[in-house]
Amino acid sequence: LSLDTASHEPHGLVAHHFENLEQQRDASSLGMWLFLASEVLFFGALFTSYAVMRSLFPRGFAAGSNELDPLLGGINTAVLLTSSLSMALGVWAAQTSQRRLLHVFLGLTMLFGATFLVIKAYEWHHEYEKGLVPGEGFGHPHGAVSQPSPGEEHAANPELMRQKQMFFVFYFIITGLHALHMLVGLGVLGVQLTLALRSDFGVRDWGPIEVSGLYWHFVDIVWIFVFPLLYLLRT
Amino acid sequence: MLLLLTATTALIAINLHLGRWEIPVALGIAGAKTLLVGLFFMHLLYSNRLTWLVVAAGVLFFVIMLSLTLADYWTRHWVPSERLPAGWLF
Repeated sequence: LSLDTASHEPHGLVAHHFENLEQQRDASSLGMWLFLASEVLFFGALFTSYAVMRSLFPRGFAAGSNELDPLLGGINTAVLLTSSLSMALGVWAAQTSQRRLLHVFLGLTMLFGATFLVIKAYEWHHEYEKGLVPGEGFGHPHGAVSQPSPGEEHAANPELMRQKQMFFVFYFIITGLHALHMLVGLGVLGVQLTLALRSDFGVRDWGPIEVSGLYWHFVDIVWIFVFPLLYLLRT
Repeated sequence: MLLLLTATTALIAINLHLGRWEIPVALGIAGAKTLLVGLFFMHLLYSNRLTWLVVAAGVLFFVIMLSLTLADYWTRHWVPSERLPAGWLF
């Protein structure tokens, strides 16, 4: 039994069950990848049921899509992709021990993430005002419960209205769960930025920054699919 | 590059009416963007085989879930045939 630690890493960085820092980093990044694979199936189940419902109710889903603003969705896609770029640069800064840059890029990533959520919240508010939240008042703009909404075909076609409502059930569940993932990501980055500001966290060992970066990019990828599925399939 | 693809997918969807090709084109562009994010931002290009195995497993099981489910629904004649991909069944 050899108690001789071959590792020459700084004390306290490597947990006792790892040989060295590299092995520890590989293990934690593999753990994140495994979690992300399970997340693929989590969102995958939503996308699968969306695909089934869309093929059953193509007209209602297209009508629902046309209520959304592809410009806002597109801006949000750009914001999120930019945040991913900033996150990747943050990991690079940590790997090359540039403490100041690490702070800047983590901060920028959080800023872009928050911008995304603000735009998303604005959209949700707008849809609430238009009466697009599934439930009893669906199809009735807020504050005008007794009047049919202008230019709407729903009085004549309750079946189309039901299908459209199904689209918005998916819309709110998918975008809601995605936003929840964004909030978790912001929380993780917030903790890491605080630690990095207070100590040499991140530049001493870039493992944790890389792992939260993987999560952040994954949430971005989910949105890359959500955007065309909800906003762009309009016919 | 990623921003360019976003602009492309949005412009195509708004300006062109692709009919039954709308979904394949939109998802194809999303797939290309995912590939770029995965390979470069997530460092898959420099990752070991174990990581690739985990990614492949995630994708594989999603494809199984999606294809078996749709294979069921799309062969029950509940779906209007003009919405199915070109050449699907009859």
